[in-house]
Amino acid sequence: MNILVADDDPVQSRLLEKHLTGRGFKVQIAFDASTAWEKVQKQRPDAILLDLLMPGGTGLGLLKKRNGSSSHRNLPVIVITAVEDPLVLRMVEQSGVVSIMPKPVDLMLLDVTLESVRSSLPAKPAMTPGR
Amino acid sequence: MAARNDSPSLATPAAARGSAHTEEPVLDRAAMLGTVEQDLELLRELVELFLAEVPGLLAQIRSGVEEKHAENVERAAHTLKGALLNFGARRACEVARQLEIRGREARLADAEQLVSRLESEVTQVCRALSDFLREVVP
Repeated sequence: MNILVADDDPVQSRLLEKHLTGRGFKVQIAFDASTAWEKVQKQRPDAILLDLLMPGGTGLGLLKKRNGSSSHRNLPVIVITAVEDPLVLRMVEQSGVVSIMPKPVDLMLLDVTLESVRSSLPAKPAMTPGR
Repeated sequence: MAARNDSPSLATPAAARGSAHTEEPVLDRAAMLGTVEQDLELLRELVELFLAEVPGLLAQIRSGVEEKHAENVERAAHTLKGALLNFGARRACEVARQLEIRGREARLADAEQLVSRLESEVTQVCRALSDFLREVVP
C-alpha cells in the first residue's frame, strides 16, 4: 500500500515516514500542497495523510481538487492537523475524509485507521510470474 | 470506496486542551519518547530536523509581523506549533498558537512582544532538546 504524506513540517513528515515504512507501507513525501496534488496524479497513492496548512495551497484546496476529479474522488484521505478552527474542521469533515486526527498524532490510532483503509481497498490484480 | 466515511472522528487538537501554564516544564520527556515509540535514534534525527527548521520559521514570523504579512505569520506559527507538539513543548506551543491566531485575524499591531516571547521559549526548547540528547542518546 502506497501512502502519500503531505506536510510541510519535516519533523512530522520524517516521523510518519519512519513509522509507516516500519509497518510495510511505501511512503512518498510532499512538503507543499501543489506537489502533493502532482504526486496524486502521477504516482496514484492508495491513501493520503494530509496536513491542512501548507505552502502552495491548503489541504482543503487539495480535498476540493480530489472531490472534483473523477479519477481521484475515492482516494482515502486522513487529515492530521494542528488546526483548531471549528469552522475549518467542519469543512474538512464535510469534504469526505476518513478521519481527522489532531497533532501530535496518535500512532496507534493511525495504525488502526490505516488498517481499515487497507481492508477497504479493491484488490489489485495479481502479477503473472515470468511475464 | 468503503474507506470514505461521512462521520469522521473529530477530536480536539491537543493544543486546544487546557491553557499554557507558567510552571509547565519546557519539554515533556515522556510525551517526546512516546512520540518516537522509544526510538532514540529517530528522536535524535527529529531533534536535528527541528533545530534546523526553527531559525527559518522564527525569521518568517518576525518578518511577517514587521511587514504586516498576516498570512505568513499564521502559516509559520502554525508549522512551528505542530513541530513543538511532537516534543511536548506546550509552553512554547501556546505562544506559537497565540501568534497563529493573531495572523489569522490579521491583528499584528502589538504582536512584537509575543514574537520575542516565542523566541525566548523556543530557545529554551532547543537548549532542553540538546541537553536531553546528550543525556539519553548514545
